[in-house]
Amino acid sequence: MPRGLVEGVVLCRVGEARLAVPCGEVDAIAPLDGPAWDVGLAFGSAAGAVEGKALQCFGQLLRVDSVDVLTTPELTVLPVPSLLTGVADGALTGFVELLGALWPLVSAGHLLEHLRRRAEA
Amino acid sequence: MTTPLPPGRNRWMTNPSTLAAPLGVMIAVAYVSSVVTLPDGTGAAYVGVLLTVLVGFNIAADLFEQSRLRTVKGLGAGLIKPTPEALTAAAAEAAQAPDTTFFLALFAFMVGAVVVSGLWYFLASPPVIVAVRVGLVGSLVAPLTAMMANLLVLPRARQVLRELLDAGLPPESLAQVLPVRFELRRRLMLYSTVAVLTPMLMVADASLHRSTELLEVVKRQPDVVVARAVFEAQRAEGFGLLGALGAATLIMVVLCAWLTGSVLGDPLKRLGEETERLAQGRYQRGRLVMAEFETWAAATSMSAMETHLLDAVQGARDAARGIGEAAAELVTHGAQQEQGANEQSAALMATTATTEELARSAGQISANALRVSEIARGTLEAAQAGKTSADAFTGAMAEVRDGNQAIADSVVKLNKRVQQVGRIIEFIDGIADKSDLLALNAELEGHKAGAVGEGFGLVAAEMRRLAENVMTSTREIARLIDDIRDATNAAVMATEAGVKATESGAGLARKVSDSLGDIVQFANLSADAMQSISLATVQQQGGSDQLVAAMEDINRTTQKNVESARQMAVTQGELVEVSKELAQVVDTFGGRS
Amino acid sequence: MSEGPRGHLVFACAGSLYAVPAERASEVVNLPALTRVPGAAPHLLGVFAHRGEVLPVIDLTRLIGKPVEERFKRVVVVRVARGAMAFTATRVIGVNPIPGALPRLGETGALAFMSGPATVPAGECAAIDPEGLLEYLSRGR
Repeated sequence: MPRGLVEGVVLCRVGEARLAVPCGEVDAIAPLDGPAWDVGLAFGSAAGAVEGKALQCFGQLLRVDSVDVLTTPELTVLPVPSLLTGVADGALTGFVELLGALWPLVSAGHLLEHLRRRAEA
Repeated sequence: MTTPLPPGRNRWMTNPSTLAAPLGVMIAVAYVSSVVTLPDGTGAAYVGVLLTVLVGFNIAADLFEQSRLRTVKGLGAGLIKPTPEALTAAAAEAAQAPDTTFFLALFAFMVGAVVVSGLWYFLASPPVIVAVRVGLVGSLVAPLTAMMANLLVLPRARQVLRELLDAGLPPESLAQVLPVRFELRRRLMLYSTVAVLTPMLMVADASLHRSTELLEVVKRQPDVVVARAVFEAQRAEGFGLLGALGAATLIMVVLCAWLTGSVLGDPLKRLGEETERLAQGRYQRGRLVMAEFETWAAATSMSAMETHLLDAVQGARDAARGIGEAAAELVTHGAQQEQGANEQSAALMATTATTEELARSAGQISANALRVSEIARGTLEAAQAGKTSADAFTGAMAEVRDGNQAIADSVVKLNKRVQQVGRIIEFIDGIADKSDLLALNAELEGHKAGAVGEGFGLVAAEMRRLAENVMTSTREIARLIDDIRDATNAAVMATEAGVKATESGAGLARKVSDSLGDIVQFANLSADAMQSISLATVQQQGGSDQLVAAMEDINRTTQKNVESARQMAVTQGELVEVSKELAQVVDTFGGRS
Repeated sequence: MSEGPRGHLVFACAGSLYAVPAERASEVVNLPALTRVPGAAPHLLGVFAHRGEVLPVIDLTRLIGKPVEERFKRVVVVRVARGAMAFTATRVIGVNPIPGALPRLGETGALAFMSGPATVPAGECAAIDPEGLLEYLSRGR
């Protein structure tokens, strides 16, 4: 995939925050059933939410409140500002403009790593 | 207060019949032994058979009698409760007992005689004629024995019936159980016949037999002298026997007559006593003399008569008491009437005085009424003026209300305009803000351009100040609009309150106007009424004088009324005395009922 | 440092005045709706897209450890060689000259990249060193 473009994203909402995960990194979307990494932790929310949907990525589960899948062939990815380089353990890979808003594009693997670190801290 | 039936009355009542049977047998045996010559060797068999049949028949007859007295027995033993039904059944049994005994004894004796002679004939083989004679003698004694049994049981049956009455048997039930039978004459004839005929037949039989025997003896003697001697001897013997038989018969007849007389006469004696009691006025409820046949009819009639007499006496007593009470009440009412008449007299006097007073005051009223009439006219004029003012006020209030309504409408319109101005100001503020931002960025760019952009920067700064001024003004206007909005809201509310107040004021004014209208009407009416009163009072003055005269007449009449009421009271007192005497007279008929 | 006075864009943020060199201040815009960034520090309120570029918005009150819950009206976009960022502002005063040689306001943290106080017509303000601050904020993670 050429740099600056992404092919299909899974749009997730967690509280008032939102983020996008490339479709290629999501194995399955399932109802939340059992332990999962709460994506809300990355936005500073308190842990403990038990409702919502689960994204299965790299054999692990990520909890979000709601999910939409957008299969637009090619989306322009806006680069990460220098101030934000390496934020969330490098999970933030850029931004996409969709539905009149900006969506942070994150790499699921790095996000899982970031959440694990946060949990350890 | 009831006394229960004593125990064993069933057996006590029929015991005499058990005694009567051996007595009859003794008479029969005595006769047979003196008159009939039993063949040798048959005497023992005769006595044996006789005793066996006597005992056997007596036991059987007794069992039969007792079986017909079950209720009497049960009541005496306490096995049956003394209900009216049970007592009535027992009374029926007791009443039936004498007749039962009579027929039972008659039947048992006749059958017994036949059985004895038959058995004796088969056991001892006497000559047939002798056996038949023995049987006939037994049958001959049967009516006598039955009569004796009947006469002995009868008094005891009466006694039991009396005891049943004491045990609570209603006398009227007894009257039903013991129907009146007019058979006294027949019964007396029967008793007399039996009492006379039995000894007569016996004597006849003995004579006939004796004569036949004598004839046989004479016939067997060929010698006339010897025959005469034997005949004479036999006749002398025969005379002795007949004399003895005659004496026994006489005793028997007298005894039967005495028994019959005493049994049948006893109720008559008691009836006599009861009549004596009635004659003395000692009445008592539920008294009944036990008797039979015509005597029983007399006894029940007398009991019913006594009951009716007692009811009548009670009625008379109640009536006497009622008269006494009524008389006493009359006396009270008379006293009240007298008092009332006195009061009436006093009241009339007072009324007369009042009427005179009325006549005097009528003139005064007439004068006052004229004055009131004038005052009412004054009131009418004042009320008419008030009504005109109130109507004017109502009109003014309506104008105020319309004015208020117009103000309220204007305020609402003003409010809408103010809101529109507010929206315009917001729009201007938005433009000023954008201008400020634009000017700011222009200033920044002017500065970056260095000396070249210096003038541009100055213009931009001016523009910013202008925008800021606009924004300050719009803020000020917005604040003023808020103030206006608050003020108009208050004005709207005040106006609404004003409209309501004027409406209620107008309503009140209308009411005042209506009330004043009513007052005008009433004042008119009062003025008319006062004039009428004035006129009527003048007329009344004349009437009052006539009334005074009439009152004096009435007063005189009332005085007379008082006098007659007093006289009536005296008469009523006498009536009370008379009614007391009546009650005493009635009370002499039987102390109690 | 012995430089002469330089033009600075002075702006107020929750009662305090700040200044950035006028040549680094690229634009003043109304504060738009912001997108929150995962794993970002608290002073980073979020990002917004402006002229095809994603700009991070820094809340100066949070940055210096005195957070104030206030509704900011504008943001001042600052651009240096390494990148761009925006500061929250309640009111933008305008361009004022500020002397070059001013003492630093602190030795460590964000204050090490601010100097002052500098007197401007609107009061006393802190002059921000945007290159240093961006460098410091980028290093912060």
